Amino acid sequence: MSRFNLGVATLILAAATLAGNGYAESEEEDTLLRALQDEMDRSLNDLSLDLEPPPYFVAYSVTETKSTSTTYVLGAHNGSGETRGRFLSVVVRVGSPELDNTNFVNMGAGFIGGGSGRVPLTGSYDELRRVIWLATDVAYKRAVADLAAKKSALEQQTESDRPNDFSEEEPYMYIGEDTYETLGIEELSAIAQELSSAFRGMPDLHASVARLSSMANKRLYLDSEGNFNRYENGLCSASMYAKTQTLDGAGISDGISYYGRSCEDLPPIADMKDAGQEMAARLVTSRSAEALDNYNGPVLLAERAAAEFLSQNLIRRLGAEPTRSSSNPNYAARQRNFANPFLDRVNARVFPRFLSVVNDPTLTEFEGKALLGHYVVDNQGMPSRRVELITNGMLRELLTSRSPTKSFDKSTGSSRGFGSPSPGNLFIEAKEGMSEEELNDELLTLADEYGLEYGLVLRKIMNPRDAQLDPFRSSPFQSGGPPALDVVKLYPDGSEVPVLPMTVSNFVDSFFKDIIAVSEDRVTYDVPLATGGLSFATIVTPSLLFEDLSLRDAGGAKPKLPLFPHPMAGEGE
Amino acid sequence: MKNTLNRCLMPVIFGASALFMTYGVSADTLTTMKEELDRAFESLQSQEVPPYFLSYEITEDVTATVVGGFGEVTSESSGVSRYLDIDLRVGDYSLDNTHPRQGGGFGFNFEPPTPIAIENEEALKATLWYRTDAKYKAALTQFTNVQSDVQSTVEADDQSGDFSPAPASEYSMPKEELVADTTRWSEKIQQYTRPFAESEFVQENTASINGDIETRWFVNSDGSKIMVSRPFYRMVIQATTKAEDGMVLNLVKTFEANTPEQLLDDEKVLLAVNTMINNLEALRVAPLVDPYTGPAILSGRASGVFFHEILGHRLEGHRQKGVDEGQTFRKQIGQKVLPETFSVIFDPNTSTYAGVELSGTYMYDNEGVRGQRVVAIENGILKGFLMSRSPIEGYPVSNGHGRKNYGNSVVARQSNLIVEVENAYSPEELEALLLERVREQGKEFGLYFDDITGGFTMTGRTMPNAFNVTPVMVYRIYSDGRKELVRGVDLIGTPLTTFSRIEAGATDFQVFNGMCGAESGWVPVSAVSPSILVSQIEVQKADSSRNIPPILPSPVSDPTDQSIRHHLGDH
Repeated sequence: MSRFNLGVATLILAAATLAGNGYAESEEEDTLLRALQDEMDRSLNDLSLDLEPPPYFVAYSVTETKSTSTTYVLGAHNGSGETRGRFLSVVVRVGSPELDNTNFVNMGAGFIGGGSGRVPLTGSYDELRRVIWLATDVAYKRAVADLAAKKSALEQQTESDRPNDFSEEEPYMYIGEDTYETLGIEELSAIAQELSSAFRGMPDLHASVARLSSMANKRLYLDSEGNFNRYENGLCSASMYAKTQTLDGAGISDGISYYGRSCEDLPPIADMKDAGQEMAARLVTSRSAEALDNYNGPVLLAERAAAEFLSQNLIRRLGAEPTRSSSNPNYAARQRNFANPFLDRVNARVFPRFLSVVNDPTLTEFEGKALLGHYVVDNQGMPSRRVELITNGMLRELLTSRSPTKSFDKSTGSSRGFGSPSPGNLFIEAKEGMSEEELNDELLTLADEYGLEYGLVLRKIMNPRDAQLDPFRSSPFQSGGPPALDVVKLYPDGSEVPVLPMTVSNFVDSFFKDIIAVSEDRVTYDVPLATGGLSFATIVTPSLLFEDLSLRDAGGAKPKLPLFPHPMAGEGE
Repeated sequence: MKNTLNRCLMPVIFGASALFMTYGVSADTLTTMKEELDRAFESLQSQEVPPYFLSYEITEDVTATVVGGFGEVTSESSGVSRYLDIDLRVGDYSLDNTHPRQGGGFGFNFEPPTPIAIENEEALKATLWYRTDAKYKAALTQFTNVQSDVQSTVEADDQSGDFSPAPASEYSMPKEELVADTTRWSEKIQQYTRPFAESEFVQENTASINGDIETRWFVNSDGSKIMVSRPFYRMVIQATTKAEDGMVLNLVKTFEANTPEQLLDDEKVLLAVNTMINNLEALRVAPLVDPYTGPAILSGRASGVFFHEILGHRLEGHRQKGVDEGQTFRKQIGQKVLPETFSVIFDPNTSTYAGVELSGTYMYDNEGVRGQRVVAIENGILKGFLMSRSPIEGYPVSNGHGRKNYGNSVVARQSNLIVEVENAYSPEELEALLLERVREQGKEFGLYFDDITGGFTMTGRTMPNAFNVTPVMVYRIYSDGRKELVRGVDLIGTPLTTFSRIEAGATDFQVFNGMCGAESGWVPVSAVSPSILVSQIEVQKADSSRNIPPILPSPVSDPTDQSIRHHLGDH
């Protein structure tokens, strides 16, 4: 892998001569690069409507995607697909970095965005130019309309200290050397068939599925500031899902997903199948588990449960985005209501003193395990970098893209697709941790203080992406958010009594400060940042002991059990 | 949805996905389905309100698609999917859980499709069991609501029941295999779309070649066991240009066949491509049309769409009793609705017309009923309707037109619509007749609708019972015989008035194949019709983009673009 950091002046010249200078990996890519450069040059020089400014910034990204996926049920093929395509995304900015067409919602004109289009897989120079030309034209016209609407909206407002719209950054070049290929449908099918057969002969399960998918992307990015990158990325995932009902009718389900940059990175098939069988057995056992209506008191989020909890509650609080202007004042008010509450907590305590949180996408592995949250360059061509987000409980920095906020005017290289800036590898670091035994003792001591006979341990929280595997889903969760699935009452004698799934209710930011102890060991946990995408965050966290959390039964509706037996019931007995 | 909007005959551009391997399918799929159906049906008989009818239908699509444009390939895809539909009824034939409820009409009734694996008995039976149980519980709730609704509403005009008996059928055929040489398809996409890249004015161009083997397994509690398999190979070529005033002008050409060889006929396709390019260039500078009423000729393709939209949908049986439906023809059986020289037939058994494959062909409908030839209008007299197993007064049984796409409930739909004309005129005679009407009505010109991309019609009551079809090639024919291409019109009107103005038909039959979307999803249909003369039609201005053409000239043809010159010089 190669990384370059060049000066601005050098880079502008470099961008004009990327093609033919070895930055493309093939003749075909060289043609694409030349087409992108030539159309970019023409757009910067000539693209202008009467009385309207020309673009001050143009960025192109071209992503070639290959994907295969297959789904099996009980050892039988359920569906599959293969696709290959190449897509162009265009960003055009008009105005100036201080005030441009972005960070604005033009009500009635759709979302902010540039042009996009399919790029030929077999692209000749001429056809590539045509596609780029038309997409740039659309993006420019939209940018001009948005800027005019934005200026008009701002004239009606009194805000004087708005941040710039686009940050100044050092240009950055990166050429990745890793290559990825998708696994063929036959190989994927063989794995999926084997995993799905983990659920055979289990008539107490109402539905189950195994899904395998393999993707490979090639991405090329360049912009008019001289940022350039080209790299490949891959993803292989294996997921299993099963569901049933408790004896009183509540729906319960569980899922497991494994991810790797290639299918070789997945655990051995036998191990995954064993995990599927364990999951299924646990589900069946849970059918007769005790229901706990609600619980208030100390809760131990163990290992994966802690990681999934942070995935659902912390990641979205770590990104800083500017408040978007809008021609509709109601939109702006609504936006403020949904703004990241951590934006107002910079340099305030958000975690207990003994915890720190660091985002470091530059690391490739942790304790021998590959980190899927590793990346070198973000979607805006900015290099990833280590950011100390929370230090000794104090929030010091948030993740940013090139859209500055009042508090942060530089990118942390965290623009990673949809939504807010997102982390890569997120490390929860503690000054000191406890052994599992000590942590359980601490839980029970706290429970005693609360007058409880037991403490609650959550070992797994439903991953919303796994819930989407339900082939018959209507709504993914019956009530509230994703339920905690593997929940046990821990008694002072060390005995455990499973209870039915529960949901953490009414979580607010201040609850993070109720973490009073953590484990000395940490787990690594991969989180896809968008369904079906290749961008991941990896959370490295210890188990978390909360002094006080409220949980309630996740049951919801309790439909009748099936009125007649499973077709395989009684077979083999 | 109270007003039924039927948007039909719009060519489907992406049917996507494909397969280059064959998945094992149990030869006994039908037997396994029937075993589980019998077990479920018998098991549920012990319930207080047992089902009186149960059917399973599994639809498998094995597809491959190549997409491109301007001489290049942009994507390839392939896939296999299988979905289950269950029809479970409680109550009895006269009143069951499917009875339309007040305000509910025959609206779109789409459920998330249920994927199903069929390769082994356990997988197949497990899904059938689980979904049948869910369907039964939902049916009980529906039935309770229906009974309550019936008690609180006035008696319907049409006292026919909710379901009709049908004889059991058994039929099975060999499963078709997808023949998808995607390398060759890619070459053809490049070959067929290259001429668009050479045109100065074509702004967008896409073409797709799609192969789809649709296989259906159907069993019901009447004893039917049916397996049918059918290939669809389709190519859609689309191109647009933009007039100086910003109007987007779009032309679409579709080709259908049962084999890739029939589909990829170079001579035929390239001729069509050249015609499209010439037409786009002509349309770009054609004058805009103002709203107009007067005489017009609709070509065979245009009149096919016209009959499908305006007549065909109103002959679908369920529209005669839906309380929210306009019921245009309900009381007109035995009455004249078209000139006596016109007959209209729906025939799913006819597979080709003049060598052209018809898309609306099938053996069994989605209720397991053999598709039957229906003479809907004979010598101008209305004789009957298209029937599913939902009866209407005077039409107690299905004629094999209960159709749907998976995930939807069956309603009566069209198959192959065939217009027959006695004492037909030659095209020249029809044009002379048009000019005669132009002169009689004191008009400067008549209109000739050469091609239509599609349209929609509203058959409900709460909106005007009107139609709107979208012509793309329209000519003014002046009284001196001069022809002038025009643009920017939609053909609009109301059905009964328009039918009363159909005067004559010609001998030049044409076929329009396409996909029709309505309450029960998208189904393939065809229309075969000659040119017709309508003494008075109405056109309105078409909706149009206000966007200006691209600011910069095309880089492919821009002589001032040094980079292009440089590039071309490199080669």
